[in-house]
Amino acid sequence: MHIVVLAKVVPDYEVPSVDFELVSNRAHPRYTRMIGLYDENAIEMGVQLKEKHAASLTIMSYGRKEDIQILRKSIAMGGEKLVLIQGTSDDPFVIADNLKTAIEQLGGVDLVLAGRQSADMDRGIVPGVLGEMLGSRFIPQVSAVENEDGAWKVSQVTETGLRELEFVGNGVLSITSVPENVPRIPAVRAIFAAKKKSVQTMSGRDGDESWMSEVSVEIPKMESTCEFLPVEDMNETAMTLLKRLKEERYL
Amino acid sequence: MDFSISEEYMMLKESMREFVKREMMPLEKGLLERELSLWSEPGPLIPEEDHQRLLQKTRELGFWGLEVEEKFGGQGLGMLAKTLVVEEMCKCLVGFSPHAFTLPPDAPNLYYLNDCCSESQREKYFTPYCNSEIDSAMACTEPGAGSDVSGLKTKAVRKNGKWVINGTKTFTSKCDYPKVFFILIAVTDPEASSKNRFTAFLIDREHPGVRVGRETPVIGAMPTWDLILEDVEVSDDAVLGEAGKAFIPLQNRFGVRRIELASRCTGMAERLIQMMIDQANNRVTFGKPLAERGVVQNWIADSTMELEAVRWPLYYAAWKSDQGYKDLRIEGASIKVAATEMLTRVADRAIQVHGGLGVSKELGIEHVARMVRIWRILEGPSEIHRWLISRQILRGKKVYDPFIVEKDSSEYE
Repeated sequence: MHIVVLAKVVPDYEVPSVDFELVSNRAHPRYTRMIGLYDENAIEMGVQLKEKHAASLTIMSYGRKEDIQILRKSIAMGGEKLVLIQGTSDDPFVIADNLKTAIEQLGGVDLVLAGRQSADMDRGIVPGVLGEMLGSRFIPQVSAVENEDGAWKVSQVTETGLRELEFVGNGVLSITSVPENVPRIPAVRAIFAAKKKSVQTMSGRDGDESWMSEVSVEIPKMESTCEFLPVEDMNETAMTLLKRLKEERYL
Repeated sequence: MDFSISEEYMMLKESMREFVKREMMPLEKGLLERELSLWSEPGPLIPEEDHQRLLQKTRELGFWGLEVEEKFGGQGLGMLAKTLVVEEMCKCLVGFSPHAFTLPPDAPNLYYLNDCCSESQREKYFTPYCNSEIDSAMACTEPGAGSDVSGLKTKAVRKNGKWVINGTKTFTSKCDYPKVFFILIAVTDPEASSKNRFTAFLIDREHPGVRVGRETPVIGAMPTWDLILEDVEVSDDAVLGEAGKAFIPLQNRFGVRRIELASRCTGMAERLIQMMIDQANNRVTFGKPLAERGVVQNWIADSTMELEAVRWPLYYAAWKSDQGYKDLRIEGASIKVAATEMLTRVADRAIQVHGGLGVSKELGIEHVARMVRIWRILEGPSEIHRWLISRQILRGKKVYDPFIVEKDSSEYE
């Protein structure tokens, strides 16, 4: 069994959106870069499958060469090999096309896992497009995967609950976050072993993005004010709070 | 000179940062509440089940014995790796307070034991110590002698082929730990110079004649006790290192402790500065955020400058230790003074930026301010360290030379 997990390097997701600064329509370079939040859930799920089924686990990324040092964490978590396709496009079709080529070059890939957000400005389209390009089933919002007798059993998170699905053959799954796939913290020995694992870099292909041009990117400014209510008498405080919420038309 | 950090070291820091976020930060509130009742209800600062969980998880992740040689079950990564990890761990009060959680084995005694243990002592004490099966405490200070060890009165005399020890130690920590042994310093040749006057003994708390005396409440959260020694009989097997030669390894042991103590201070200072930044940006007074007030800007700037002025000499000292230099007296003393005094000032400014909340039991800044106060005395007061530094320099009649020329590996081929 060969599993590929797609991981990308993104600007620090802990920076509050109100503080987020753009330069040339992209995140200011001063932000620390890290592996995408849901990608780490996908890596954890891939590592668990690898441990359970003695599978091969390759981490694949589309991005910049400088990302390798950040992606190395995925190897320390349990990935065996890192493949980086070098490119800077935000277009989901360009990204998916590059990933498809690299996956086909690897050969024998049974399952592709990806975080439910993707590098296309967080639209989450890349895994679906990739599934179509590879001719594989695509299931979004997956919280659990099992392999029993060659069939994949998948739990999908829906708006109202969980859906159990099953399929045979190759698949692309976009992974959401659940307590069972909280990413493991890399252990000390795994950190030092990660540097010795192989990293394959490939040149990405530019796509035709001339059909669309980016006019502007903006992050809406959010303003918040805080009002402290005295709490000497809780009943009175509750009454004041109710009155204020009504005045501001929240209620 | 190369100031870049390796990918591996960066990942080490990030791993500990994530561990702190997930496992230690949720315990902070409980620690602050527990500390309020510590003296009326003695015992651990965090619940034992949490302590055990932290121990187990840090062991699984390989954070134990980062600087311990691999042949003794450690990671063999050295003092710089340990320093980077301790800095991260000490951004949380649980890691910052040694009485709450410390990565085993406690470094300074580890170095001392590793340098001086005999084979039988290695089996009885050192290996179990590396595996956190037993703990160790230093029993050196006495009611009449602290930094000036020439005043030590505890004596070990030879009688019928045994050593018989009598005396009283004070400010001895860890006496309440489940399994503990002491590295006890006693005078064995009162007429000799300091270098030949003292002998170190390894003594179990349960050894006949050893009695834990009264507890001395001190500020900070690390309780200490008197240790009374009445006709404690031990054989030569209990001597750590060479009889009469405890002074130099003891000084070297303090050097390592000082590096670790400094990394506790730089880690916590980083957190306090972040708290100051957040408070300055969010707190509005008289129509303006604190961030726009010159005095607050100066506090943040001064704190940053002072932190960074300590952090790099600290890394240098840790690196120098990793290069095999054992005499780190000047480096250890310098960073111990600079780090504890830096954190004292940073904590004071952080309290001031936060106003009433700064002195409350909610944020924990006052906890830091109290802890660091004791660290300006513990392991040698600042004045002694300054004296030590100047004495070394004046004796050498030259300014301190920090330069170590890079080894040319081709020379040794």
